[in-house]
Amino acid sequence: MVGLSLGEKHFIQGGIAQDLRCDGRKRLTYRPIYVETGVIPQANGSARVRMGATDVIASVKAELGKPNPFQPDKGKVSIFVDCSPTAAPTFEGRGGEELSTELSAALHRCLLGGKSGAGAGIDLSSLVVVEGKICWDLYIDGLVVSSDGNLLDALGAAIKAALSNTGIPRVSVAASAPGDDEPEVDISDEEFLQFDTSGVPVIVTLTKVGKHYIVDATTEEESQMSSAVSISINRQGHICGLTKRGGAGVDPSIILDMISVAKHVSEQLLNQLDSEIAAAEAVNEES
Amino acid sequence: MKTEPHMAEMKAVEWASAIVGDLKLGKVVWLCDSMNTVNTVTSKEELCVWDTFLEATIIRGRFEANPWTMQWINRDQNYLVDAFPKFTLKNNFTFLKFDVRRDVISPCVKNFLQSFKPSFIEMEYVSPEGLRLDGRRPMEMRQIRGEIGALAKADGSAVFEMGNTKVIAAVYGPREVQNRSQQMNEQALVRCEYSMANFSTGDRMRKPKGDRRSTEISLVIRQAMEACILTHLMPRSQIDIFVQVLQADGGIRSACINAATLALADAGIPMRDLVTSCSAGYLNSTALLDLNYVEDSAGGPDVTVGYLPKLDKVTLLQMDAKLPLDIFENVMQLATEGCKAVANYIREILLENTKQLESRRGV
Repeated sequence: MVGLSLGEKHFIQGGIAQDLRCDGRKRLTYRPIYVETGVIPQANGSARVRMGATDVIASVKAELGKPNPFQPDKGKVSIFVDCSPTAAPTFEGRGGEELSTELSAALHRCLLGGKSGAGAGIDLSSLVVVEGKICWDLYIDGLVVSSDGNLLDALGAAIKAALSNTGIPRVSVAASAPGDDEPEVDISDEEFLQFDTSGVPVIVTLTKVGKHYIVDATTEEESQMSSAVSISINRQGHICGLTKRGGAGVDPSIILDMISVAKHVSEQLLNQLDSEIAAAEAVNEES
Repeated sequence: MKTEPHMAEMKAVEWASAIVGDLKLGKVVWLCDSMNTVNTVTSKEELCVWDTFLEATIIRGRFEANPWTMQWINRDQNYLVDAFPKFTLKNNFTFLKFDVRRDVISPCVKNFLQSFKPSFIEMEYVSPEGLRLDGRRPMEMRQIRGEIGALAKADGSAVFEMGNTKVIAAVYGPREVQNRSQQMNEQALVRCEYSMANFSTGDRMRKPKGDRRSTEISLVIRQAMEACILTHLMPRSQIDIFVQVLQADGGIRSACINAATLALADAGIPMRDLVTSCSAGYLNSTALLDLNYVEDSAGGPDVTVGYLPKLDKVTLLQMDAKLPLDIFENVMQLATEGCKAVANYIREILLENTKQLESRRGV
């Protein structure tokens, strides 16, 4: 819990009303984003994203599994988020569990779409090895190392970066086993397939403080929020998912307004993120 | 031209087939771990690989001309390809047949081999040249790296790496005691929580929080740190140490303690000395410093020592497995030497950090 005095609260609220926040940003400006990829060598793909004092790591691990019998032509993706107590002492023990579950559910909604797999940021059918028998299970793990607000956006960005860093081993299936229940497979440890991550959306969280809303809120600013809307938007400008948090009600017209603002902000964020990811990957390839 | 892996594989088979052809061995069973190659060679259909067309045609010709067969072998069982010929030669077998099937082969063949000569497939952790699996000498430590102030929000924080093991530690406090019933009037309350990230191990972990192992490691770290913190200077307050493992490759306890020491120093908490830790083991009749995961899981003894370098005192000592007393002395001595080396390094980092703080202040 953030302990703020009455004066500090007024300062934050007043600053937001005047479009000049405590760290000198405007209402719709993000903190600088730093992306590092390939930080976890034992994962198939990983990335670390820092926005101010917020620091998150996302990793992607792929395992061979069986597809869901109702969707034989699709792979499976699951997202787990863990809040490390290093981020805040309140996450100690089971303290971080509630927030972790909330974040994983929101990410699931924003990145993976509905149960049918429609609207997912990742092409799930590209994960199938043998239809109905073998597919890749992607385990996406997020870890909050340090928390200074706006965790959802940072995690979304980290997952996007980790996915573009992910290489799935090429699998060849034995030619001699038609109609076999468990076909023999050979997992290559030299050849990897890259994902097409251009469809993965970014998440923009608009936090409403007083009459105005801001992007990329810090912990102090988040403590003053009445409600927050997280919108995930892809390259085409389509909304892929939406979550509203916080107790206070919001006028429907304001929500629509927020969505159009988020769409505008997401374009800049996507461009910035893409160039950061490309730069990080270039550094990786050099070393 | 860029050489793709499967092209290299085909080229290798082609060269091998030329050698085997010259030897005129008669019946030969080929084991290959690339399914692509096996499919190309054994298939009776017309060739449709263009980048390796030449190699494939030559290999197929040789396979047709000789009584050879080719089978695919799982990459995990690759060592068998090496082990079997040696085994047959050693025992004067002339023929040995086994069914190459995943999951069946590993235990049954292992047992079979062990029934003849138990030491045959024992791993070699130190090569005859005196080098370990990762190329280190027995008394060599992995590369260590420490970084202070990795987290902006914590009062003190540090990252510590020992080879591929990477640990991040955060210290909060001294601050008011959260749970009043735990408050102590004479000294500070030191608490520690250890957690492992889902992605820290090779295989993904499913339920990392609050198991017995992490509770035990939390306790070990807490006790080691409590021994060096001047708790009596901060009565009625609480110090939290949180350790998060990002990558696990053996020596986790040691890395955690070293990271916690750095983080405590960064938080400016008064300490008697810097606790440092290092582990050592004993494999293939050699004492080895700073075991990595493979060496650690070999089942040999693993001695972890926590050491106060200035006071010359041991605060933590753990060992599993059994060891003769005189060898234990050597191993523990080695681990203590490791601790001293770590202490020197930590001191350097702290000095560097203090110099930076000084220059920022403009002194």
